[in-house]
Amino acid sequence: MSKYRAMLKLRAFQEGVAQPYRELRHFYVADRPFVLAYVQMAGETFSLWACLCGRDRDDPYWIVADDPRNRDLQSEAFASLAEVLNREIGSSMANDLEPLQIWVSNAGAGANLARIGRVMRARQVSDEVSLAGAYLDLYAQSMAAPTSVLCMAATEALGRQRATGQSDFEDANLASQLMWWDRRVLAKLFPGLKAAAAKAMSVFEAAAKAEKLPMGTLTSPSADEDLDDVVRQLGVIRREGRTSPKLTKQLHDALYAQVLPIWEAIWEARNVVSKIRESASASERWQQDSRGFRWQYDYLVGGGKRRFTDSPMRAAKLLAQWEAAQADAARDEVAEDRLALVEAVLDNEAVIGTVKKVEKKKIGKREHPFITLAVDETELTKGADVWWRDNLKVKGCITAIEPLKAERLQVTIHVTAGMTKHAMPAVGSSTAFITLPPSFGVQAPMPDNPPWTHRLRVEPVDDDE
Amino acid sequence: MTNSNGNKALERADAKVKQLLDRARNLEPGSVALVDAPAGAGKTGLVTRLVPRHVKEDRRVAVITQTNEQADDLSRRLAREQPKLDITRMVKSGYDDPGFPNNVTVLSDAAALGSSSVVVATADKWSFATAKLGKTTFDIGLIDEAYQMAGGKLLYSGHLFQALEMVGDPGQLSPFSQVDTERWSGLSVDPTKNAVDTLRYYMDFEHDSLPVTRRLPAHAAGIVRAAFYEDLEFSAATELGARQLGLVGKARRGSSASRVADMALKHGWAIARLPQRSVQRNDQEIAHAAASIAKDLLEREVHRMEDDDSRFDKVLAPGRIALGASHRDQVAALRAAAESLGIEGVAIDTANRLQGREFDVVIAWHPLSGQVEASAFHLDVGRLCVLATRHRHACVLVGREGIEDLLEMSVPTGEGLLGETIDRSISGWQAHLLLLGELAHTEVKW
Repeated sequence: MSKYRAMLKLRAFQEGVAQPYRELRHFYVADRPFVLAYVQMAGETFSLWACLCGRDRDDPYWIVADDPRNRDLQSEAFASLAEVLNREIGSSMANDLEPLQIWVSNAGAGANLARIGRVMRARQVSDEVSLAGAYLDLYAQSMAAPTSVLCMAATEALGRQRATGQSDFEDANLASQLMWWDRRVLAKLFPGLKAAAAKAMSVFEAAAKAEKLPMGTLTSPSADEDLDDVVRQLGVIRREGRTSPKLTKQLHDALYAQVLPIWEAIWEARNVVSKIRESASASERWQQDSRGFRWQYDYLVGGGKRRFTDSPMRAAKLLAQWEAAQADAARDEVAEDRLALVEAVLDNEAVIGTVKKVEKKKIGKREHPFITLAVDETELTKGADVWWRDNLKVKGCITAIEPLKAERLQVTIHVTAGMTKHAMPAVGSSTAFITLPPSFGVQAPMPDNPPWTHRLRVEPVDDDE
Repeated sequence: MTNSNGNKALERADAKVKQLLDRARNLEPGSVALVDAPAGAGKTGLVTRLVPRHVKEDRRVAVITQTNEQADDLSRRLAREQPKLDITRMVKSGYDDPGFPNNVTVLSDAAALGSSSVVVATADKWSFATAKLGKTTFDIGLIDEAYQMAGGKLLYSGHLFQALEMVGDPGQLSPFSQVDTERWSGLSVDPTKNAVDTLRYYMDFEHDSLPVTRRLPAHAAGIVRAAFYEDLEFSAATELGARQLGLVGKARRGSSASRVADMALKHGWAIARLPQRSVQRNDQEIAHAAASIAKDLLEREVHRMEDDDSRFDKVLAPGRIALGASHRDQVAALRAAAESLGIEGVAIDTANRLQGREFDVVIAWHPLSGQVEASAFHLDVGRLCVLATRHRHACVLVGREGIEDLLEMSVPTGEGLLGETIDRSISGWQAHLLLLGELAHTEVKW
């Protein structure tokens, strides 16, 4: 954790309310995301028990497998989910709209989407189910890409904006994290609780109450005993070839009560972060996401199959892409967001100061531009490469750090690239330089086939055996 | 006075190098050979002898290093030791020429490489150069610090090299990525896996090691081996007591720094223990303690006795002392503390940047000092290994009380991935406990 975030967490704890970690929102939030709130039976991480999903908060789809351990029932639930998902994705893409942005409650719920997706592909229920499985796999895997927001975990969306006064473990419960934003939300998650009563609670009381709600993919242990009983009774009845509408309704109601708070909490989280002003580079990154998804969509709809594992070439390319994307996004944040700049200064990744001089000095035959800053404090050292925050094309190198009066410091920067007449800090202005280097814009080209170093040596089979 | 035991060890080391040079001669296209070397075993020395051996056999050699500093150092050393060898140092465009002997040509455009027989460049530069090199190939790709190289980098440039010879220190830091690489963990395709483990998945190859550490003194070699190099057999080049430090000035009464310095000079190791506190990473008290130990050593004038004589007649220069830490902000704190105490000329840097360097005394910031949690980053065995293996004479660890408790509290479960023979978090955890246990008798309360 950075010093800045640690400080915010202390302050949040003291004041009982989440503290702004970023001024702007650096990720795209869709107007109409596809929210996927679901629970799984304990130990059955490759199946779906009950799910509320859709793009309309007031009118979700409700999918349930009465017993997820029963393959037929499971396949039916997969088929229902596939129908919804394929229709929504298909209509957006066919109409050249942006791809669906899927929201889940937390990182664990995202990770288990990959498991569900893989079973849907591997089970070969139908082409529709396999396709939807491939989509889910694609969405879940996109979460590992540092700048992709095709699939958002609501807890992370909140965490990227504000810091709470509780641990990361506690923050992984979406309802509990939301209490640090607005305690009144508790009334939407607990039927019968008034917003005023929720607001009257301390944040600790509210968070403690909220964290009893299941917000991951598991039903709450206290509900499990009753659920287990009903599932067992229904199983007996099913094997006898009978049905029990009463028991079925009892099961569905109990599951609905488990999933509904997750559904509501995800929407609340989406709504609060969507109100925060978006940064300029966020839409560029979303364009990349969109292009990537479009490519994958065309490939899958055209009958292409997603590989279950990466080839060494693809793994290396992805890693290089991700590293570049992460480095560029981190720079963009510091350039666009004043709070990110504060964090960078505390982490010794930036220096803030007042421009004292902009001058040219002769080194050898050529004149070189130099910028002198007066700064309060910096732990940067001579020789550090820096980029001008207002125009990241301007690159320089710190050539001297000297003491000034009143414990201030004078930092001299030799500008080595990107400086033009129009791109110069004004004397007297307050400005910043950052040390985060740009990614290699160009990736090294990779040959089409792996070299001999990455080919398995297959021993010739002995015919005599 | 000669050191008979030491001579025997050095003879063993020389015999091994001869054997490795012979082996190199027989390296066939499509094959791979590996030499493991513990800290200070003469890895670079071996590389500077392997290169001319290949050239003598009319082979073109591509040397692959992991950083530009390593490439510069190696080019310089090769050029000095082999004045007749023409060496090309291939660099990225805009790279400042740090100054080389005359037989080194600096080149940024790979297309202009021609038929140079020895080309030194970083793994990244080789990746970018590949496209411009067309059908050019090298008989030998010699990878220096193979354990630091991500195996995925060979995907870009592997076909340039007909055979690979790898030299590396298995105790050092592994390739590391800032992004989430869980997608590939445990898989052979993991692009962050080091080059040795990557190649091991695809093929069998010859594997040897250097048997003698010239750098580490006898009192350190055994402990270092037990903690960091379980699988390697090696010993120190010198006997116990052959290499010593002596102090001229008296200890300052009541000075913790003096007591730590005395302990370090007596045993070759010392652990300075500050009271337990949970603190920010750039703990100012640790920085101050570490710097004041360096100051004490310099003020009291340390004389050293080397392996080849028995007199304390060489004065320890500031440049022979290093202060090392895990993070840049800790290094900044150390620099500030050193400056406030008026210390000049002492090397102060991160473990990453001290890799491959050598000092007489190293004062190391314990990676777990003052931490509330032991993260995988801090448990990584490589970071502690680098800090504890840079010294010829003595190593001082500076940390707070409670490191053992922290370790007991955070026993790593390991990921238990198929195909991973070593879990670095577990071996790191063990190494931390083992080192602290072995050195318990050298503790000094601050």
